[in-house]
Amino acid sequence: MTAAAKPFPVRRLSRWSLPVGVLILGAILLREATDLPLTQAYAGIGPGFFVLAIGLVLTALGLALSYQVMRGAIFEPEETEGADIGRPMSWTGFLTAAAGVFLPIGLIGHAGFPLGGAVAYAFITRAYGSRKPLADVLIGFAVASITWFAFTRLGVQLGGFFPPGGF
Amino acid sequence: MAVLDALMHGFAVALQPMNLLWALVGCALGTAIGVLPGIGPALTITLLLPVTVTMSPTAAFIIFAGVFYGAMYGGSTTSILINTPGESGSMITALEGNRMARNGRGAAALATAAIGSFVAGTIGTILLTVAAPTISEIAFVFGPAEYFALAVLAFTSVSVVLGASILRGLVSLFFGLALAVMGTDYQAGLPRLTFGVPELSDGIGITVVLVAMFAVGEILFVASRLSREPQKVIAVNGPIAMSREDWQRSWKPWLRGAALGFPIGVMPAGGSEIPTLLSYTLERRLSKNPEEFGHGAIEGVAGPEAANNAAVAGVMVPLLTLGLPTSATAAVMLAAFQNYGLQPGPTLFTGNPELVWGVIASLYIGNLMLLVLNLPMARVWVKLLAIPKPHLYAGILIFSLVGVWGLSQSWVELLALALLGLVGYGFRCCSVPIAPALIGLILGPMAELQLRRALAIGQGDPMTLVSSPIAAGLLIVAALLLLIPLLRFLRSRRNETPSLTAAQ
Repeated sequence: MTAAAKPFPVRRLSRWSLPVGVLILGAILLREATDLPLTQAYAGIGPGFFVLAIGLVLTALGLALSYQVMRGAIFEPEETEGADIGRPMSWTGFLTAAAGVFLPIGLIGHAGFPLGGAVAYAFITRAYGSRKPLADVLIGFAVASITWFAFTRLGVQLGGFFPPGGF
Repeated sequence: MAVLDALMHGFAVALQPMNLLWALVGCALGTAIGVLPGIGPALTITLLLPVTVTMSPTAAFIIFAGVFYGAMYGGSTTSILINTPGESGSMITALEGNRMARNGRGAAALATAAIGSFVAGTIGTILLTVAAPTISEIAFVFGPAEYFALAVLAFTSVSVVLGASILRGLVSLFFGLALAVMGTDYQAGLPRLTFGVPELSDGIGITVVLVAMFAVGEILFVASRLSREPQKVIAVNGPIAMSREDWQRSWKPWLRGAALGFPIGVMPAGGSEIPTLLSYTLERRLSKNPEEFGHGAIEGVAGPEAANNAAVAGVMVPLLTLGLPTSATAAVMLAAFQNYGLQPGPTLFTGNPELVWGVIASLYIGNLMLLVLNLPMARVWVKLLAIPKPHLYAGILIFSLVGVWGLSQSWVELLALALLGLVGYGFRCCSVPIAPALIGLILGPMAELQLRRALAIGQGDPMTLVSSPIAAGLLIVAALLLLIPLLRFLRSRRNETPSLTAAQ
């Protein structure tokens, strides 16, 4: 927990992300609680009670975290297998992987699970250092298709194989 | 012997050919994911949920139990041979076992880990068999107030024990609770935190949250800080066996490990990390040659490995008897019970004896299978690590997408998956533990329901929550768990030490 002598401005800002995130979440819950009845007949508490309580605690936690950050605390990342937390964060790796996670949202519904899966697969392999995009798309398509067939046979509904083609 | 009768019935269920096959599937899958990085038992069981809905609950839980036990076996193999603990419970094994492997004693390390896991797992399962029915009888007197107090105890202990700081443990817990209140309130029928999105009126699916926080969060995190160091698997020559001396040095640590692991596993938030650490410390203190520790002492593998497997059996006790999950994996299994419309607790033992005893019996069988799967075949499992990392993580994402898309084929859930994946990424960046969020999400609705019931019975008088000695006792323990570290922190503040470490 020793602060680096001169952290980058970005780093200094990013230290606030946890307390600010918690405070925003707390605010959302408190806002919602104002719309809900707190009490209900003789049952004591209504639907708003838990929302209010959680919102209050989250706000308190956010303030406590802010206090820690002001006192110079830095929230270090967690030790994870396969990750080297001593390295600075790689935005390329993160954004490529994130693209693999976000692109299927629209793709799977419109282009079907195997195609959407293939795109996701190719982005993740790229983020993890593979430099053969064409091969990865093909492997991804194979993996996703096999998964689609296997799970559909098991009774899991995964939609059409290729909806635009009417399959 | 009612217990013995019940257990025999359980074996009759577990020994049916199909159930034996499912146990084998679970054990093999568990070992595999224990060996592989990036995927643990909690996530595996989550991804299996959509597949197993078409199965009988007994078959499903036999698979889940196999995965749970198997992950512990698989985790020890990788920690010994490449020094990366596949599971958090095998951190210590990585320390000592990897040293052994580097000294050319990998075979003995693998053997003591597997045999110790078997011995302790079996002892743990026997204790589970004896303790569970008794505890479930006690639970018959539990009313809403007691269940609420139990949930509060689970909440505080999970947030205090797991993770780097209590504050961040609580952040995780309340994040989970916030997700739990999403959806239509069951009593008043009012939408809560749905933001007008119709898909959210049923609340957010546990599968989505789990897959996002565990799998997607991990995929994003590892991608952003990819380790460039190649993994080195230490080769093991000769058969995986132990010498006479190894046996002599191992059997006591196994028993002591089991004795530590089981009771701690039973406790709320006991988990498997603490008993392994305790066992390691104990063995070092008892050892005639403590200087070997840190350089490959076999006791340092035997004890902790036994402890973590006994702890897994211990975790099953509160789960089956009270419906109280004390680890992330147990929380997912509770969610699975709920999927089947089953409520773990005393009624499960009376209402579904076939299921409960079938699963318990399959734990005995699974342990034996795992010994056979792991002892001669450790080298085969290690081959799984030959899967290139890019394809491993991409494959995990494909399975995650299946798990979520298969629920309702709605893009809203895929969006929730991606967004909660970002949250999971953020949690990892700040060392916020994930398990408390799951416990909050899964136990939150139960806590709210029981609180409302208790208050309705007590006509709104909050004193009703502490009117029974059990409820009051549980709440006091829960409060102490939070207050003691807080008091310690305040006292250290008064002495004005400039460091912030006490608060972290």
